[in-house]
Amino acid sequence: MFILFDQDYAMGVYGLERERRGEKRGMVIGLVKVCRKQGFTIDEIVRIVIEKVGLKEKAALKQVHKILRKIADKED
Amino acid sequence: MIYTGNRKAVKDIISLKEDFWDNANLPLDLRVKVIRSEDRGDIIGQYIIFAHVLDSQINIHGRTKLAAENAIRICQDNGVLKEYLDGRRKEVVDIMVMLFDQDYAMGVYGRERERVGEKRGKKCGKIEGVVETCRKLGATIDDAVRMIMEDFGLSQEAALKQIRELW
Repeated sequence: MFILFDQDYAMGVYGLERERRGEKRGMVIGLVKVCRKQGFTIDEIVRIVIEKVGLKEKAALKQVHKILRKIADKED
Repeated sequence: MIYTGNRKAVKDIISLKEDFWDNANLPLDLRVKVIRSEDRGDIIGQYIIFAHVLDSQINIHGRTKLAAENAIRICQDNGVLKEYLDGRRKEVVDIMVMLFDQDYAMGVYGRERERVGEKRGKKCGKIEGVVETCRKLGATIDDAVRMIMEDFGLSQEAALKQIRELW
């Protein structure tokens, strides 16, 4: 029983962690989409992502460029 | 702690304080010796060899019963954990397959949770983007409320609540 309780707990923690990771990624996607539409520059978008999502500069730059590339691919 | 992965740069000692808490000023620490060498000549070394053989078989056959059976056969042929595997071959295969199934289920569950989080995050990110735009353009909170009500189909109360958190 205790093994099952521990396993349930670990699954819960793991699920929350994955959900949090997904939420962060979703927030970056949402922000980039809207800000790009509104004519923000890439530097401004990166700054907003750093400020709102809490990513470090390098990670934010990478994510923003990746999402912009994906959006551009879809438009082509 | 036994390490059976393929990374070359693995520390000999892992410290909870140094490696997980950025060497913070904590009164307690936990230090763990990392065992990773195959050349120990004892049962731990043999277990590490078994794990490496299993990994290579998984790379070829995926997380399948065949991979588990091949890994066991290779180890038996080379005298690795031979005594143990000779007596418990079926039990080891069953456990490996169960672990593969569990890994698969965990993967599906994790991806599902991540998808749920991403959906929520996207909506939140879009609202933040609208709020940020309104601020940049010098719009009022009322303008932002109206935009969010229109764009996201929220009630005035819900839109106002979101904006108060983000403005």
